[in-house]
Amino acid sequence: MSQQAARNIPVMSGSSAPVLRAPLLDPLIGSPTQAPEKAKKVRAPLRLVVSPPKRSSRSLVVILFMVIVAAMAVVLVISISVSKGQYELVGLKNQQQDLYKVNQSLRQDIAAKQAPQELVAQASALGMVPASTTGQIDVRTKQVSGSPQPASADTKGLVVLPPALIDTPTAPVVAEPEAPAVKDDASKTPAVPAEKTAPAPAAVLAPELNGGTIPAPLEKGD
Amino acid sequence: MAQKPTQSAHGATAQQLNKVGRTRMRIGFVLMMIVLLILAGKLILIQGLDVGNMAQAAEDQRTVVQKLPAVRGKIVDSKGHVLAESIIRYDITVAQNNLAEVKDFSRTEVDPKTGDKVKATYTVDEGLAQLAKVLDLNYADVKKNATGTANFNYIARDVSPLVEKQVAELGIPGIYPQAITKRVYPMGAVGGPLVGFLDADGNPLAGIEQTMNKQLTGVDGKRTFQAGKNGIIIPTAPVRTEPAVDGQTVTLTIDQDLQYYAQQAAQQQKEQYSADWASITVIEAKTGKVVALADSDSYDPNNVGASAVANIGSRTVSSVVEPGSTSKIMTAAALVQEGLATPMSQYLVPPTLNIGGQNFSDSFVHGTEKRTLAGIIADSMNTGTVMAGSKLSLEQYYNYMRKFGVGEKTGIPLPGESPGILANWQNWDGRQRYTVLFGQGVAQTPLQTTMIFQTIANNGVRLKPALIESFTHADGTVDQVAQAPGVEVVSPATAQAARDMLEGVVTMTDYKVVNVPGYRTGGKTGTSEAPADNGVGFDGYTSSFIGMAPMDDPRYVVGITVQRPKGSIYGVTQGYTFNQVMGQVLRSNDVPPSTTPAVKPAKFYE
Repeated sequence: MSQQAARNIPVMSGSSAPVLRAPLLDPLIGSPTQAPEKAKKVRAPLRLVVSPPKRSSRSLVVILFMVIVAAMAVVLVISISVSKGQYELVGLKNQQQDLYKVNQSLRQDIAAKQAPQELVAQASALGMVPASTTGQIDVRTKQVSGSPQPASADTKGLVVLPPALIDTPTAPVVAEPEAPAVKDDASKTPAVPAEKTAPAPAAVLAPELNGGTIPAPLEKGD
Repeated sequence: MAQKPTQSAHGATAQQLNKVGRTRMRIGFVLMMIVLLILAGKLILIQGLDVGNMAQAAEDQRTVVQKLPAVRGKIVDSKGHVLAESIIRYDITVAQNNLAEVKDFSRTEVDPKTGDKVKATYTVDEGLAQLAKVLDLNYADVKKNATGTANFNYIARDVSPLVEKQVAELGIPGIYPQAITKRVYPMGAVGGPLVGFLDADGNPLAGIEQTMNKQLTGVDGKRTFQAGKNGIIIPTAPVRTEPAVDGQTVTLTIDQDLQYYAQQAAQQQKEQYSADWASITVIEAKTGKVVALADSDSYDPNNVGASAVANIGSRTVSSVVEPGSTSKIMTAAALVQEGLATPMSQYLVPPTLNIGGQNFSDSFVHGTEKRTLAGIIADSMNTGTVMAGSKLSLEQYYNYMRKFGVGEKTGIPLPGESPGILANWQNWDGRQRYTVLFGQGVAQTPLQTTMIFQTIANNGVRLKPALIESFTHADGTVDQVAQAPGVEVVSPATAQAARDMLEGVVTMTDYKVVNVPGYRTGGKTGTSEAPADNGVGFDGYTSSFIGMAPMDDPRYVVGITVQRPKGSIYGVTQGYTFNQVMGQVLRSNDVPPSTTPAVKPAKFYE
């Protein structure tokens, strides 16, 4: 405000300013006829303005520079860590996918092993036979009811039901002109060691972004 | 334009020159303004007003919507064993035209000795040989399928993710693994007819898969993002993800181990008697929960095609047979409920009974006997049952049968359930009006017959057979399926009287087969002539036994039905099978042995 005020005051008193100054102030105007008009718009007389005490401008520049450098460094660090995090995220997502697959096949193995058909087969392989007679012990009276007899090795169980048909050869597709001899022996194939992972094909496998912002390339015509 | 300045240079004053220059400047200015205006107008048209929906078109071109498929829910048994689940499998496909373009390819491999990553180059044929090895296929087959001009062909179908990983690591150009979801049934034929199956396109065709399809099916999600022409996702563009909601897990009331045992027993009975089929049902008496529902020759949902078409489905709910003598307990219960008899009511039963012009005899020869109602039931006498039952009006008995659930679907959530065949009492012919009293001239599913005994076991309240315990949503919340309200058919006192008579069948008969050591049991045999499949006359028999235990407070009902056993019908018994199955059920569920003495209602009176 004070600056503006200082600029305004001379304009107010401009009428009393001498005409002489006009050429000095406006040396570029060649035509003297314009001088009286211009004379009214004189500038204020120059006077000393007491500036407030200030810090050394050099230190200010240094501080500003350092602030900018620091800010840029921070931005850089954040940016690096974010993008590094994204790479890690993508890597972890791929790892998760792999683990999901391994987990799935393990769960399937467990389910197959839990199936009663499999349990019966395993038990018979161990030489176990079903109990032909049963009895109960009443712990209060210490009485045995029923007529339990030791099982004999030749006790026949009920008929055995076939196990589930999973991971068995799948019939070739009917509508296929060149039906391949399809066979799946997936369960027999041992798991690959994870170290063998080749990075290039893995990218093809992960069309999903999985929440990350670094995209895996999409397969065309997939 | 170029001449003007020279002209003016020759004969124009400075002022004229000035004027000319100013005019030109103005013209130039106006022209520039016009050009700018056109540009600005175009800009506003395109950017501001978007005439022609360019922005939308561009966004549409960039926008990629990726479907996030929802996983179909699992079907598990009451103890959480998986009966059906969806897993990821892969088809290994080839773009023959792409493969034909390359001679060799390279991939980075880890050197097993040094651990360094090295770049290895192979020819396509070497790659295909490696592929054949990984897939455990013949190299010639792989080569044949991979050679050609088509842009799509299968190399192998339905391989596990582990194999797919190996295939991907080979990095052969033109070989693409394709993820597919596959439904697997780890228990195979155990519970197969209950679980059902899907067709190749994932449409449910049978069992719980069909009836609970709505719950099992999830809601597909989608991810919308923007991608450049090269398929790379634009990182700064918004990515909208609507997550998929997986289907619900359906928990059945079935106990996998008992289901297996019951199926074994059913198969055993079928094979032992060379019967058409056998069915065993285990019901929890107080809740109506189906613990096991076993059919002989159950199909394996993993490979339905291997089973005969007639075996697809569950005969326990879809086949109707004449129940025979098991119906006598309905007659007795109706008589007691109506106050027309008690278990100790006395009947002078002749060797053969002639009533309403119809003759009835029994399966064993006897003279005129002084029988109690319990004695008539114990030895399953048709004559006595007709004598006692004829006190009921036809309408009365018909109504009791309806209340016991004959002639209507039980409502079990399985497709293809039959309501049975029960003609209206007004249409019963001269003989049928008596034969219905001992279970001929009426047809029921094995499940319906078992539910009649569940009614007796559950103090006269008939429940709806429950096959589903709960639904588990994708977010983990569990919806328990509420017990459907029952139908009170007879009073608890009547049910108790009926149970005493059923126990009399076990304790008072001369031919003591039924015996589960430690437990009081009760039940009723049934033998009926099976109507021929062509509808003319009869062909063979239906042999059944429905029983319950422990009689102190019945917990389980086991119903066994064997259709058309071969050989002499008098040698056929379901008693031993009942002992095995009921024994297994009681022991598996830690049911304490009976502590009260068995009921032995007198067969004769003095």
